[in-house]
Amino acid sequence: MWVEYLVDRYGGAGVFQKIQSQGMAAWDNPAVLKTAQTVRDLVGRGAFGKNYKSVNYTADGASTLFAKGKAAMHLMGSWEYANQKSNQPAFAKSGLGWTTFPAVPGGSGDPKSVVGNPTNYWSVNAKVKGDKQKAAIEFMKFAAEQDYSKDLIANGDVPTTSDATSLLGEHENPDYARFQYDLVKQAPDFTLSWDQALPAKYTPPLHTAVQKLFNGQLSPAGFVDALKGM
Amino acid sequence: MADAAKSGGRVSVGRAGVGRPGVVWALPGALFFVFFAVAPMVLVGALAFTDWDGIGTPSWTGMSNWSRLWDDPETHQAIWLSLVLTVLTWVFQTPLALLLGVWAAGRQRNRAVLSAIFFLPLLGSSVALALVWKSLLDPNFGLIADIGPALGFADGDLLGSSKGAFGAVLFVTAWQFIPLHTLIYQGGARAIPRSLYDAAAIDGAGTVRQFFSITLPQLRNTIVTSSVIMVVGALTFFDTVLILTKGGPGTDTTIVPYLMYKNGFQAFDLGYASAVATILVVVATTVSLLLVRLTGFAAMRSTREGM
Repeated sequence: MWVEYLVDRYGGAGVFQKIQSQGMAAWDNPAVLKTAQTVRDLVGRGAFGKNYKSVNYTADGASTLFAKGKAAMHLMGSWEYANQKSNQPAFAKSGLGWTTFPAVPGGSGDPKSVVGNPTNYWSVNAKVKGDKQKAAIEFMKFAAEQDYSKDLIANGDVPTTSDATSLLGEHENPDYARFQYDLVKQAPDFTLSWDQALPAKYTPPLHTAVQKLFNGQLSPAGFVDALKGM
Repeated sequence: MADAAKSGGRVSVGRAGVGRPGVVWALPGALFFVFFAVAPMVLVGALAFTDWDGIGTPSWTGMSNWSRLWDDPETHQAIWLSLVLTVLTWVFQTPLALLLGVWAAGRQRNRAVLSAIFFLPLLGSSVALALVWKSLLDPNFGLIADIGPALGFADGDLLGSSKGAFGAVLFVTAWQFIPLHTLIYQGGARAIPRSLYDAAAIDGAGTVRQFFSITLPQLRNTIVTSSVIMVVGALTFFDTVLILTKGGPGTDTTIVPYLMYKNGFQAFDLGYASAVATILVVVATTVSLLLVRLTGFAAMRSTREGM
């Protein structure tokens, strides 16, 4: 996520769009190299602490550190609120603040752009016919209904449907819901998480390269080469 | 019974149950092996020459997976790590299991209780055990946060360092599997005739001398059995790596089985994963055959000649 945001802020959303449409050679963009150098700089200055290499996310390691006050900031998607709400309710209620990812010096990206997964897509395979297709369409209608949006709100999530504004007041934390809603609404560009936007075969090498960059096992130039070689 | 007696020429009439079992007896086992081991292996061997994402139709790509395998630095590293892990596993587990097994074969007062405790790790599922160890090794909330500095990991960052993560995989798997090998050695040591030790005692041999001159040579076949299980097991370690380190930091604990999983079920590149799997089958089979051949185990020579 750090890497995705930094690339967006340094070079704009077009950098990744080009990679998606033109292939892996397009990683050879100065914004990607600049991002990698910034990551190394942040690591060197202790932005992620000293034992970040073995902090897990999946077992709520990072979120718990954040909620317990051992970490000051946590770069995460909108689902972090729902996460904290179920695991650390007191913190979600009174201790949690939020803001946008800042602009970077010399960057040409729009600081209003967002990356991550504010909402994922429903896809229906065009080859599916008959009953199965009907069932799929019915399901999508259901997922677009007001009741479904209400359930999302109750869960602490923010539905990104265009008519959800009226529901936001019912969110446990209306300020957060409106902030999040407007953030997405005003974003000129939206980059889906790279590991979801690219075909699955790129996911493991992408994760490995990012991990090695943060660990110091890859230099910024080596990181760019690794991505180009995927 | 009567039919068997008629068709089996070697079986004498009236004593039908005593003859050598025919080929038919092996049929259930053989069928099971064919369907669940041979057939999948043949399929994997064929898939290794295709490009397949798991859903569509595999397309024939000839040798491209293999040439990629040949050039892939991650694969080279994985093979090297698997070999190192296998050797270190043997070096670490065998002496401990052997000593524990021989000790557990004795008749000491606290033996049964202690043996039962030592045996416990084997009963847990490896996934559950790996999860427990992962919690213990969490740099902020685990035990390692407190004892890490004493072990040389100042911030409890054991799983974040290459050597630490590799050592953790080695240690956790050893902790889990030493009981199995202890049990094998215990059985082996129990089978050594008492009279050998009595004779040695009369000749004035002490405990240490008896161990090296009687116990070890008598356990030769047991050592080979245990070693083959250990080596093939170490080449196919998977769940501990998946949960404890996910092949990290970077790719420094990505051993061959994890590499196979990563390519097959994360990248959905099942053709390439099949090529890795084929390599694994060939290497594991070759190594275990070599072990059996080189140690003379195949000849089944008795350790009690002249007794």
